[in-house]
Amino acid sequence: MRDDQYVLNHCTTYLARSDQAPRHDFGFGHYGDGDAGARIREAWRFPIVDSCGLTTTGKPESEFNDVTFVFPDFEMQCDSVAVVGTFDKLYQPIRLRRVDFLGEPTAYFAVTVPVPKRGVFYYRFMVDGEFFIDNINPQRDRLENGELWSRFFTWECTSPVVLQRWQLGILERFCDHILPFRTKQGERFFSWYYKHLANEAKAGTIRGSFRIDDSAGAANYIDKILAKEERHHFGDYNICLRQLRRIIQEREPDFEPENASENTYVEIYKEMAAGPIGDVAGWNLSEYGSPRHFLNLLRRHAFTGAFSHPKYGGNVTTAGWQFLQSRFPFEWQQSLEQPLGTSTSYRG
Amino acid sequence: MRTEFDIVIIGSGAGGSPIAYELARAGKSVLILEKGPLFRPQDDPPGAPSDYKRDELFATGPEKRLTIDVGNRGSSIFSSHIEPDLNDEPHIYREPGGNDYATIEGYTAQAVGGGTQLYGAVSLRFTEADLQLKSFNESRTLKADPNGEVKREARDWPINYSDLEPFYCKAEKLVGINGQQAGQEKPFSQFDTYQKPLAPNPVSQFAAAGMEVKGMKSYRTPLAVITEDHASSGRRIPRDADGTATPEVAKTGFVNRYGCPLGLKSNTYVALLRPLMNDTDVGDNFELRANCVVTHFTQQNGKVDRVHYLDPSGTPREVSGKIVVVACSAIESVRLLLLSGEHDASFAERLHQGSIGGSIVGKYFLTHAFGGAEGNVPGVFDKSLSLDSDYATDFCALPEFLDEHGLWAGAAIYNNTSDQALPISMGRTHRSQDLDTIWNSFVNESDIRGDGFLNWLHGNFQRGLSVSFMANQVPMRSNRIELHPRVTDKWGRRVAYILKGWHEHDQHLMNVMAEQCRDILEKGGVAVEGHGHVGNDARARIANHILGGMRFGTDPSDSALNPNCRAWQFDNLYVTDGSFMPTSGGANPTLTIQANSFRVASHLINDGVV
Ligand SMILES: Cc1cc2nc3c(=O)[nH]c(=O)nc-3n(C[C@H](O)[C@H](O)[C@H](O)COP(=O)(O)OP(=O)(O)OC[C@H]3O[C@@H](n4cnc5c(N)ncnc54)[C@H](O)[C@@H]3O)c2cc1C
Repeated sequence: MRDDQYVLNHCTTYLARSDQAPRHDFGFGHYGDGDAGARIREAWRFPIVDSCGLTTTGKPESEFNDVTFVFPDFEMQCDSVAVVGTFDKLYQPIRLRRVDFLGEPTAYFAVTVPVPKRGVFYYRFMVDGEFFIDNINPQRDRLENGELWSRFFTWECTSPVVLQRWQLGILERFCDHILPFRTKQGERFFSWYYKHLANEAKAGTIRGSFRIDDSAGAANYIDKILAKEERHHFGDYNICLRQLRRIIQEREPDFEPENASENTYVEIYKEMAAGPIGDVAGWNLSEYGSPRHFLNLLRRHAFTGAFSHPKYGGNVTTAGWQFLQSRFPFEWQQSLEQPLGTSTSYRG
Repeated sequence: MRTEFDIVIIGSGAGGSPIAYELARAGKSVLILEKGPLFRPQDDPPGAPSDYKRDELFATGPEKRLTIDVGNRGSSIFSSHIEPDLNDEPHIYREPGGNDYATIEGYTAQAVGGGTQLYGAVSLRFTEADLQLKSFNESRTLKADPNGEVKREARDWPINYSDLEPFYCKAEKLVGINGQQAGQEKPFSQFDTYQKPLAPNPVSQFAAAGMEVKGMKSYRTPLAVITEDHASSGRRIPRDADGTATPEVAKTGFVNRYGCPLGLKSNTYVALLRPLMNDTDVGDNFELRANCVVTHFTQQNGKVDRVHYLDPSGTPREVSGKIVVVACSAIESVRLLLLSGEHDASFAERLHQGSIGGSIVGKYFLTHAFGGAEGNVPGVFDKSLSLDSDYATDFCALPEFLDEHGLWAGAAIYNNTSDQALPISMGRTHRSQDLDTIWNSFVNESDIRGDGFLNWLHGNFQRGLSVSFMANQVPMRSNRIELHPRVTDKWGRRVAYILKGWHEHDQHLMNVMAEQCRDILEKGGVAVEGHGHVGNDARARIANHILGGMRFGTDPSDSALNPNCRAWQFDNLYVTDGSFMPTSGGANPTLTIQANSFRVASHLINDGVV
């Protein structure tokens, strides 16, 4: 249960404003015309996915996130708001309460629900009896029945959300090329690490199901950040991965692009990094003006994905941190919450 | 909803909270209006997780793009989760080419606790000379001051060190600071102001050794992190299974730019405000309204009669206080006063009245002249288990040193321990000087890949050591805060416009100090990679030590505030954040802002002002 203060703390700076200009539309088709999200700071923060306080299920808190759904009603005209979705008892409406400030109603309705980690979920609001998608959260999906629903995912999620398999495949290859895990030392570490994971899996001590690759889940992180925090770069990835697939296929027509030779990836990486804008044979500059720009973006994402907190979807099972620890004095466990780390004071 | 209070304070950071603490405990009704959220540490309320996390992406979040119409439109921005959004409320500065750029520099943090939530917690006192730089320099010979401006513009504070000293003691005890008095060049009237420092991180030994070889007396850097139970704030050090206190858990790479989830870092919320909220004697006399932004004041006959603010839904509201204290951090305080003047011509008239050569409000904006040196130590050390700094020296504030180099004022020098201790912070700050250019170098250096990546890690990770100096900047009237003529925030209010450069003497001073830092590292056995200062970087001219703009003094024609930090032409308007400083001091400013705020509180109570 999160109190009203919590909701206001996580809403005011993002939602309250008088200027309705699209200050937060970063371009590249990030938002459609008139989309409310463009007027809101960091619209991706909604619903608020946070560590779980107390569950009433008897299961450990570390297996859940507190998900707080927020429905702003600045005109103060709604009486009842509920959320229905795939996360709790399927499609049973959960009522949002009107949040108070100093005993008076505010513009915000909210409710907090513990939701299992590592999942993708869909929801809609029911406002005075009518269904709406979440106006703020930019994550939306058309379900198989053709209906548009709002989407969110919880921490440590490893199912692909916005990228397709082939896109993830090419990304993994580039992430491998950038990150230090495909070096001799990296491979030694990872062969030990996989053995260790396999033993843990046998012993039943690792949590959840996951898909790990040599890039410590950096590609999975990119999928998540493109779905959420850096949605404005989804277009860059779509265009550039399409170009890269074509270019790799032209150079190695006998293979699926994600299985092309190391050499091809090495060459293309070099070409992307050449000069101020990159110089990749076969790149269509009129479609995307600088392969180097894309490479720089990818480099930041690969690095961040491999070494950030696993809740973002990379650094799966803390592989990135464990790799660093195998080479450097780096007792990261002491600072971090269990079960990832060993801190007895910090709960995450 | 209560609308009348004895004291209304705007801003809950270093300048605002001490006054709230003292006045509420003296039986006055106190309201703090704070723009940012009340992010709470773990178990507040009991069982709740912390709003602050040990998560590198909290310190410098995902990329955003600047959309407002300024010179750097379209560029990437990365900010902490409690810094304002640049598209919603930027600070604008004019770069040397004359273009206007938006920047995150000049913001500390916007949350209950203000900058003390994110700060590195280095909590040094200023020296006696820092407060008397005009008198100190009267008969001295200075280098790099051909036109005598330094002597002309230097000011004495209207109080001296001995006036402030009891309040330094009070602040050190009530805030909760660990450190060591021996070795400091500042007098202490009480011997027990600090808690015990923790063992230093082994990487710091090289800085300590360098200082020793150079004959610089050093001491353990005072840090606002509790290492023992802290009775006045009710904070306890976590216990292990046997019930033994474990102060070492405060050591983590998540220090500078991170809020502390355990409440061990002494921000003003856990040290001062939460104890008030839990104090049954204070009861309803203290109220903290977070997520409320003050938009302007109105006045009648020299009294601020209404404080206008927007509540968490953005609904306009008003309160009144017999006393109104502005503590929004220097840039935002000046902005709030200037905006009030735009709303109410009579307010503007009083605000700008009295000073010679036009209004002094917003003028003499200061930061610190700062810089340092960095290099790689022989060996690797786990820097992720550390606080922000281990050793400091006042050597470069000694009169003999200043005479030797022809300097008007001295500097504190200290080593940084936790910088680049975590992988992402190392990547994003690789060769970057400020918050506007992070990631640039790592992403551009495409050779940092595969084996190159590994080599880069081996060259840098857990090997870096830096030493910084923090020195006074020469006050210049042309360094100032205005309202931007064109750019407005998400409420349609004009944003702050910062115009600032360095004096020739600042450059000289920074060259001397950076050289000292380099030499400390070299003498300590560190392979120096670089040394320098902010003098050549337009953005870092602003940084996050933001001071001056509403300086106090004894002469109403030369200062905006009287010696008690009251605006000269108003009976009940006080300004107590870093803007009151006429000179910026040779050390990090926050402890001095807090001590001064305790001093103003004592005046308000003991002189029967309220
Ligand atoms: C990363 C970092 C590291 C730092 N490290 C150190 C250090 O090691 N040592 C040191 O001495 N200093 C350090 N500082 C600087 C320190 O944070 C500031 O000196 C100090 O917080 C300034 O105090 P202040 O009272 O002037 O403002 P703040 O503490 O910033 O408080 C101002 C408050 O006013 C609020 N506010 C602003 N406008 C409004 C409005 N219109 N209405 C309502 N509320 C408003 C803000 O939200 C904020 O909470 C650091 C700062 C940063 C960002």
